[in-house]
Amino acid sequence: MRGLFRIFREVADRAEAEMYDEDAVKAELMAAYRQLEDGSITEEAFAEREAELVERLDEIDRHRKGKGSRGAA
Amino acid sequence: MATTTGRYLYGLIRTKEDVDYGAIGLEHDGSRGRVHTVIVDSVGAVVSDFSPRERLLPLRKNLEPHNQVLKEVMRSVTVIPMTFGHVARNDEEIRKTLRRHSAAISAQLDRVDGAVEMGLKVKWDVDSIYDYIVGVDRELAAMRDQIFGRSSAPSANEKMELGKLFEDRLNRERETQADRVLELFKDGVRETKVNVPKGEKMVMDLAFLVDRGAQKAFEERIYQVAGAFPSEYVFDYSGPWAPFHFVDLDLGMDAEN
Repeated sequence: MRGLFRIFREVADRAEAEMYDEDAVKAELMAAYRQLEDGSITEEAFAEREAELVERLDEIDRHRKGKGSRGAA
Repeated sequence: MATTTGRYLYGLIRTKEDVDYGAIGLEHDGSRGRVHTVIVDSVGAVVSDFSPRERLLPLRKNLEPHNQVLKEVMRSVTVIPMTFGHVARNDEEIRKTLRRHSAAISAQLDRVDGAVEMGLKVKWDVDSIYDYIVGVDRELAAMRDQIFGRSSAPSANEKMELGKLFEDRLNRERETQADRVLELFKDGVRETKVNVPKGEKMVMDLAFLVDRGAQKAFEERIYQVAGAFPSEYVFDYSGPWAPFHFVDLDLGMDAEN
C-alpha cells in the first residue's frame, strides 16, 4: 500500500505544481498582451484575461506564503 | 525617499556618451522612471531605476513602457532588445555583465546594425479550415469520400487516419506557402525567421531583418506578394520592431518573470 500511496502522492504533487506554476501564468500574461497588440483580442477580452491571470498569481503567492513556514524558498 | 540602486534593463546600444531618453520607463516610486544609459567602452545598457525587491509582473502597465522605451531608442539607433523582466542590483552589476560578454554583445550588435525587424502573419480567411484543405488536396478528399460516402458509419480507426492525414496536409500546405513567400522576399531582406504558426487558420508567422533604408521597399513588396496569392490568404504585417528574433545572446541574467 505504501507504493500505491507514493504514486498518489506524486500525482497529487505534480497536479499541484502545474496549478501553482507562476512562470506558466506569467507566460500567459505576456501572450495575452501580444494578442492585444496584434489585434487578435479586444480591449475588454484582454482586461478580463489579465484580471483572471493576476488573480491566479495572487493565489499562487498566497499558496507559497502558506508553505513558507515549512521552509519553501 | 530611499535612493534606489537597482536598474531595470531594456536593451543594449552602441554609444560613447550617456543618452537621456526622459521619464518614459517603468513606474517606480509613483512616477515613470528616467531612462538613460550605463556605458562600458562603446556599449550602453538602456536602463531606468527599479528596485530589485519590487514585485515585477508582465502586466500591461509594465509591458507598455518596456515596449515604448525600445521604440523610442530604435528611432535613432539599433538596439538589442532585452526580454521583459531583467533587473540588476546596481550599475556595477551591469558594467560587469557588459564587460564579461563584450565580444558576444559586439557580434550581435554587428549582426543587427542598421536594421529593423518586420513581422508578417498570413492567415486563411475561410469558414472551415478542414473544408479548405480537403478542397485543395485530392488524396484527402478521396479518403474522406471513401469513409463517409458509404452506408456504414466510419470506424474510430478510420476517423483517426483521416485526422492524421488532414494534419499532415495542413502542415505541408503551410510549409509550401511559407517557402513560396520566403522565396519572393529573399532578395530584399538580410535574414528571415520562421516562427511556429499559432492557431489552425494561421498559415505562417515570419520575421524579417530589414535594412532601415529598405523598409519602404519591403512594405511595397508585401503588397505585391499578397496580390499574387488567392483572396483567402490574408497578409498582416507589423513593424518596425526591435530585432527580437535576430539576436542570440545570453547575458546570464535571469528575467524576473
